[in-house]
Amino acid sequence: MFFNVNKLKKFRFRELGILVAFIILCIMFTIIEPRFGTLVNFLNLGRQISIIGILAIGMTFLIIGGNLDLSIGSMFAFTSTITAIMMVNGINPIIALLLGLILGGICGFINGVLTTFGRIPSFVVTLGMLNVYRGAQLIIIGAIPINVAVGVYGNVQSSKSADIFFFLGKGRLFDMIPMLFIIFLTLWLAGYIILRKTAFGFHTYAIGGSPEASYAAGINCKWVQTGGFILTGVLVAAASILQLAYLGTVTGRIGVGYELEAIAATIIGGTSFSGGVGTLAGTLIGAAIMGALRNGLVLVGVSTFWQILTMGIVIILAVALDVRTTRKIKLEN
Amino acid sequence: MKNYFLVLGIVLIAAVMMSSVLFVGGQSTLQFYLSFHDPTVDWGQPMKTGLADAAKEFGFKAEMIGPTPMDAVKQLEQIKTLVDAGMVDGIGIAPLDAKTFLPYIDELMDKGIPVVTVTSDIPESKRLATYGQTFESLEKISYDQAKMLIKTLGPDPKGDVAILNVLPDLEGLIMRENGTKRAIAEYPGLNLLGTYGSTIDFDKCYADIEALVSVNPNIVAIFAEDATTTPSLARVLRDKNLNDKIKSSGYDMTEESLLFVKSGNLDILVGQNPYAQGYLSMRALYEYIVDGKKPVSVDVEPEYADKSNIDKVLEAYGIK
Repeated sequence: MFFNVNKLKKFRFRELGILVAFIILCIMFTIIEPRFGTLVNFLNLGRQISIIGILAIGMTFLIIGGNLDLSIGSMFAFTSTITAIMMVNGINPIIALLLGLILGGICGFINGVLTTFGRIPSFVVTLGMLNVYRGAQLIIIGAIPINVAVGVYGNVQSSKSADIFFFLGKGRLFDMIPMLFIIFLTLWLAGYIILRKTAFGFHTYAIGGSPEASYAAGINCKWVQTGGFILTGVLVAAASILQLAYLGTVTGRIGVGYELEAIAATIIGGTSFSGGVGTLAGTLIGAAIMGALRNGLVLVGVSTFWQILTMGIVIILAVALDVRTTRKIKLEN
Repeated sequence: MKNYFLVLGIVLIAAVMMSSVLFVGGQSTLQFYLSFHDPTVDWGQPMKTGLADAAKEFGFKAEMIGPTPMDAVKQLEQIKTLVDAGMVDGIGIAPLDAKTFLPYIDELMDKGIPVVTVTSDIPESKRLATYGQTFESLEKISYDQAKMLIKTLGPDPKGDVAILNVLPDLEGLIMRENGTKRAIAEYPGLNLLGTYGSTIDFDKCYADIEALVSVNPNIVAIFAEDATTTPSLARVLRDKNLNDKIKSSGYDMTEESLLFVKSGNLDILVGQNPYAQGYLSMRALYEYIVDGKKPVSVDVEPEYADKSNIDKVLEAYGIK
């Protein structure tokens, strides 16, 4: 009675439930506070979900493949710190960015190899690496913030490369669309193509669905899963360096709790913890729901205490709506 | 049935949001915000009371905002969301770190939004004034407090000492720690073991301090630099019966910490008067907009509590 799935046959897809939840949320916020529904606010929202969104892309690959990475918040801090140190020591910002991405890939490789070849559950490996990366970052940074801004505010030489670097974080296309959001959508599209259109993506689903059957079918499970960790590591590094470009600073506190947010966006998006199920379209909507909640509750004036409670309730309702819709679609089929 | 459950849930959420709007009132009243590191921490609550009292006295709206747990990006994004929506007439900002917030404070001032800093300052920024302590005065307050405690050890103190710091990368706490270290360095007989207790979880903090005192029998003083390690330290000293052996100092006048001073489990407590910070900052913004009165910075004097004045302090805070 709430909504008739039969009438939506043309639009029947897995993410319908959470998309409906997102639309309802936006309409409600706009009714209560019209400034939520403005272009300026939606562009802000796009920027606000970009960093967690990029992290959630990697997390989606991992969870579909039957793994998990609890270390991404700490890896985020580690890769950002090393990149910042390279920049303040005179390395070209674009070179530092590329080296930072490689570092992220190496971190992902370490996580992957320990999990697959070391045969240690990813939960355990990444729980340990969470402390390793955070500890390493704090030892290196000495708990003193590093500033990479140019000119009056910082200690990086002004240059064309620096301009490009900071434009990636702070710039706006056509003076309007945040670059962070554009980069997020680009990475999301690349991830979508890899997951849906390549053998690697197909193998990821297969392994998550049944590792034994995948092995029997001749899929190189260890390297596919390691590949998922490497991809996640590169995306984590990308997100962390983009935040560095946006904020201009790295501190010992950055990235704390980001793994939970990335997992939340992924799971709200319909990816299953049991593996083999999930889509990046769902993850995008999941990240959008979390961002809309955070943004909307601030605009509406809900206190921080109530925000925490409300976010939890709405997340559960969004997932419930999705589970219900998915079940209806399966029954219809 | 399940459909009704879902609809009811959505209606309830809408009701929560609507109820907050009902209390907001008309848009013609000035709206100020105080962006804090984390509005859920207990030492921020007197600040919230201060800004609420100022709002009531002068007839404007004031609200404390901030992420939980503290996060510079989220703190900035909240401010940006409200500013871009045109909902901010003035703002007080408690910057998590100077370098991240400095450009944005300047940007707000350039946009014509009056900004004051609260708790800690960024003097290089274009902010109108500050209500709290500068990083330099944080260092000095900590130095003075550490000297007060060391003097209780006698004329020629000897032994091991330790510092507790929940967030050793936070600029304000770095300054406090520096002040303490400067004081300790003046006494060659004191050996600084290091900084401990770097966790926001009270249980883990307790465990860290418990381990510290267990393996270091020569500790004569411990300096806690924040509102998490302070009550944890007092609890450990109480539970292990170590108050006669180890002198202790801490920060932030929460009810729990004040009662620890009263019971003798904590020797010296320093507060940064968060109520005054909240009240003065909001009043300054109001007077600037309505009367054109340029805000004047106030280096809010710290408050001290020890056994000589604890009863008076408890009475002032309304704690029985």
